[in-house]
Amino acid sequence: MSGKKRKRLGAKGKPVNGDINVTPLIDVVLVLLIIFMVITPIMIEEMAVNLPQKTEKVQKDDLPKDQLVAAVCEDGSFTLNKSSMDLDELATQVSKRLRRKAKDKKVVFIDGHPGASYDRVVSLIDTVRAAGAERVGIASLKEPDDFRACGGGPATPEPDAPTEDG
Amino acid sequence: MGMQVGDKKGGPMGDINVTPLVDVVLVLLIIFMVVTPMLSSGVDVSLPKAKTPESVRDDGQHLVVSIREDAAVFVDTKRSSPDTLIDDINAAYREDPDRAILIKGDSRLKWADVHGTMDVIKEGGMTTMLLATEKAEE
Repeated sequence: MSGKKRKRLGAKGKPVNGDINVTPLIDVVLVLLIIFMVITPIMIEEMAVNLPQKTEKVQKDDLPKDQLVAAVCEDGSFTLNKSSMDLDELATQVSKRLRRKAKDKKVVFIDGHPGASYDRVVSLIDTVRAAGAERVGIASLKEPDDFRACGGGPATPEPDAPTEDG
Repeated sequence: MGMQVGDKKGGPMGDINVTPLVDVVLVLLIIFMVVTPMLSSGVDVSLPKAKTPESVRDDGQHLVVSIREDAAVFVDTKRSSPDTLIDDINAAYREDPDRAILIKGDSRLKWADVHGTMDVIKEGGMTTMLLATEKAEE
C-alpha cells in the first residue's frame, strides 16, 4: 500500500531509506520453524497382532466353541464364523459376543483368503479392534482350496485353527 | 518481492534486500532435504487406513519390515529377498533386541504377500508384531 506512494524526500532532498529490514522477521520465523519441527512428533500409527506360534493343527475340541473367527473372502467380503455380513453388522455382532467375556478372553482371530486384499484385512482388524477385541490373532495362511471361512467347501471343522499363545 | 517506488525518470529505488531471505530459505531447504528421509522409518509405502491404531512416536524403536507394492521386502531400508529375509531380520534383531517388529505393508498387496512375510518373522520366534497403518479421517 505505502509502496505505491511516492517516496518521501528527506530534508536535504535525499530519499529516505524505505527498505523494510526483514532480517529479524526471518530470524524469528526460522526459530519458530525449528521449535515446531522439534516439538511435532513424527507419529506412526500401528496395530498389534499376534501370530500363533504353533502351526500344527488343533483339534476342534481344543478351541472354545464361541471363538470368534472373522475372515476376508477373496472378493473382499467379510464373514464372521462363516456367516457372511458387512462390516457394520460384523462390528455389532463382535461387540455383542465379546461383551460377556473376561478381558483377557476378548480375542478375535482374523483369517483371510490368500488372494484377499491386504487393505480389506486391515479394515477387518480395525473393525474388530473397534468392536472391543483386546487381542487380534492371525490365522495361518491356507491354500486357496483349503480356505473354508467363506463357505463353498464342505462343512469341515476349522481346518487349522490357530492356537492362542502369549 | 522488490518494489519500485521511484518515478519514471530513474528516481530512488525502494527494493527490499532479499539476500537474507534467500539465505534463510536456502538453509531451510537444506534442513528439510536432510531431515525428510529420516522422518519415517523404513521404505515409503502407501499404508492402509485404519481408525483404531495406536499412535506412537517414530523414533527408531521399531524394527521396520516394509513390503512394497511389488512385494519387495525391506528390513529397515535394506532390500531383502525371501531367502535372506530371516537372516536379515535376525541380524537386525540382534543389534537391538528391544525393538518390536513393525510391518509396513502396501495397501495394494494381497494378503498372502503380507502373511508370507509374517510367517518368516514368526519362524524367527517373534509372534507379536505391529501393522503400520495411516489414520483414517473420521
